[in-house]
Amino acid sequence: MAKDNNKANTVETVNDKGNIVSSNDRRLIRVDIHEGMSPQALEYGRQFSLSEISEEIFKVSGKASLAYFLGLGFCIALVLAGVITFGVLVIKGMGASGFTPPAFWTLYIVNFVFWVGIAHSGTLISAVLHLFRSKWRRGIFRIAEAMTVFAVMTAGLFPLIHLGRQWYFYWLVPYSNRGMWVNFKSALMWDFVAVLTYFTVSLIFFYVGMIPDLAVFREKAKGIRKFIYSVLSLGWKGTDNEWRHYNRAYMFFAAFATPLVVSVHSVVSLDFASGLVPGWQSTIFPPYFVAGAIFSGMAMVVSIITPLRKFFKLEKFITEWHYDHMGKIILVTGLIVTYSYIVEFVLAIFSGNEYEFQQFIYRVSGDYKFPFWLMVFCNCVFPLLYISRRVRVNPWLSFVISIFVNIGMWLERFNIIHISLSYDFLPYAFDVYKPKLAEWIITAASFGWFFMWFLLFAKFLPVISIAETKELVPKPVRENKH
Amino acid sequence: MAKIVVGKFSYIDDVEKAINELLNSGYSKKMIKFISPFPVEDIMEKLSGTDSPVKFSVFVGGVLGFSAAIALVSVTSLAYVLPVGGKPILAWIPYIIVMFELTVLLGSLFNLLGVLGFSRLPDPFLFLGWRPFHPEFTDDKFGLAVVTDKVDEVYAIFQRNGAEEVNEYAFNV
Repeated sequence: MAKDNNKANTVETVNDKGNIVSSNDRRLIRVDIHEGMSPQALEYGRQFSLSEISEEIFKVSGKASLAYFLGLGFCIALVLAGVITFGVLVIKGMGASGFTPPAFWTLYIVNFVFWVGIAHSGTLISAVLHLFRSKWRRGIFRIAEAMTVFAVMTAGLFPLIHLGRQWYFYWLVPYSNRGMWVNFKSALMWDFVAVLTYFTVSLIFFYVGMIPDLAVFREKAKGIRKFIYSVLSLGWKGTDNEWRHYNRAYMFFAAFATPLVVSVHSVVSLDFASGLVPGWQSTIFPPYFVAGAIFSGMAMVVSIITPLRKFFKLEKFITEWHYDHMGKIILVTGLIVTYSYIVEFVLAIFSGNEYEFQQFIYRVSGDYKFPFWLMVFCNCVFPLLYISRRVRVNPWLSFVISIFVNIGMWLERFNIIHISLSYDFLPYAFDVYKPKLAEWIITAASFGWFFMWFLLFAKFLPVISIAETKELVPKPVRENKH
Repeated sequence: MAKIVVGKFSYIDDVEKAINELLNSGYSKKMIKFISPFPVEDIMEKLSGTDSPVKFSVFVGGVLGFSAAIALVSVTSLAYVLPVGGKPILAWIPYIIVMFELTVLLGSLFNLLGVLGFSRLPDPFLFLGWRPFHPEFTDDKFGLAVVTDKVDEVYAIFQRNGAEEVNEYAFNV
């Protein structure tokens, strides 16, 4: 026994430089949690104490200010306007929207693709960066995951609104409808299955990641909130056994979520690519859509985080370090999107397909040239400012760029859907689609719906991962105190 | 009668020393539980390892999801024959998407069930406040809980290794 004790006391240790400084028993290598960390990550972790992290994050969920209620009230007002407009659509029919033959896919589908794209970035940021053991992810991933869940909840409304006869929406569910079954060869059924899976997995991933932090809130909250957090945290204690299963399960969720994201937005792109409409039928669509989704989603994270950190005083948690990395991702994915735009044109020119060629000539010089060139500016030109580190680490400049990217990505979906539908094969059918007021109100309502959930999330749930941030803090060791 | 002795520590190295002393005194790993506000891999490695049987539940879920998808697409296609776009009635290539999605869906659901089941969550005893648990264990303190009938011995080990507070309870942690 004594011999074993000696062994246990002479385990290998890894110093700050990552070198092994002593060795006897290789099975008991004790790796420093901070090994391999970048200087920024070490500096980030050193600025906190363990209890300060819990305290500061819990403080965000404290008493709400007047500005918070005004913001929440505005979002709810937008949602109510959308509900009333939707009621008008149900009564009057879809003619109240700007359907202009041959453009039968209106802003609702633009919004669907836009929100699904936003959704895809959150889980991807969280899952992929977790698999890569990225440290900077810890400051922003909870917000990105919440964004995913709320964006899918927003996106899911649009196919229902677009249906026209919403009371038949359950026909999408695979069941025997008087002997008829759904068609699994259809891209729309793939969409239904993929988005449903994505929402379920993202929600579980979001919730499971939050359980240890909900336990922190449970111990700090009082009254009814304590009861709610007690239920939500499922009695989490933080034993070695719980952490062991939790870490492994979280890794599996990340491993599942990563290919899932790629598959789901590829499936959304197949809604278009499997159609024969000029400008749609292209093999580049799946990777192009996935890159665009990360691009727009990352930009939305910046758009949300910047006011949030200011409003809830989270500057210490979300720093220049995070902005620098987010800026790099936006820059790289923006370049991939730009490359995809060029490839689309090259394919159209060399395809030998005159409809395809005319479609792209029409995009740059036809009735929709303003949204097209605005999209090019927002997505391809303006984000190039991120080449400068000074721009990347400036939160408010990043915020401005992210807003432009969001506008550009919304316009990208508008251009793909409406220019192609308005100018397809037969000249007698060509027409210019102009959205009507109902569509604009429902579009605004979707933003209200999304931000309403976000504001509620910020007030009631931990906006930054407490447990994972604590992992970056140097471990409290008595020897360091002397 | 066996009791639970819980020590509260501020420093990781104190916890490690206490664990070493407990192990050397003949306490088995199963009798010791470490409680922390974040995962401490080297202590987990020492007590329970870092691997988890959750992987088996994920595997079962994935296989079930894949099988269910094959059954769903083939049975529905044969029950309602609908020739579309020149594709065969059983068009396996487009069905790959449905198979992949259901594999991931059930794999994830079983992953959730696995982590809850193996971690014995939800824990209604803690939820109702029946179990000894220090609120600071989710904040900035570390806990060691030992099942023992030699309460005084464990008390002494904890105090020798820097425990700030030691309590004994009749219930399991």
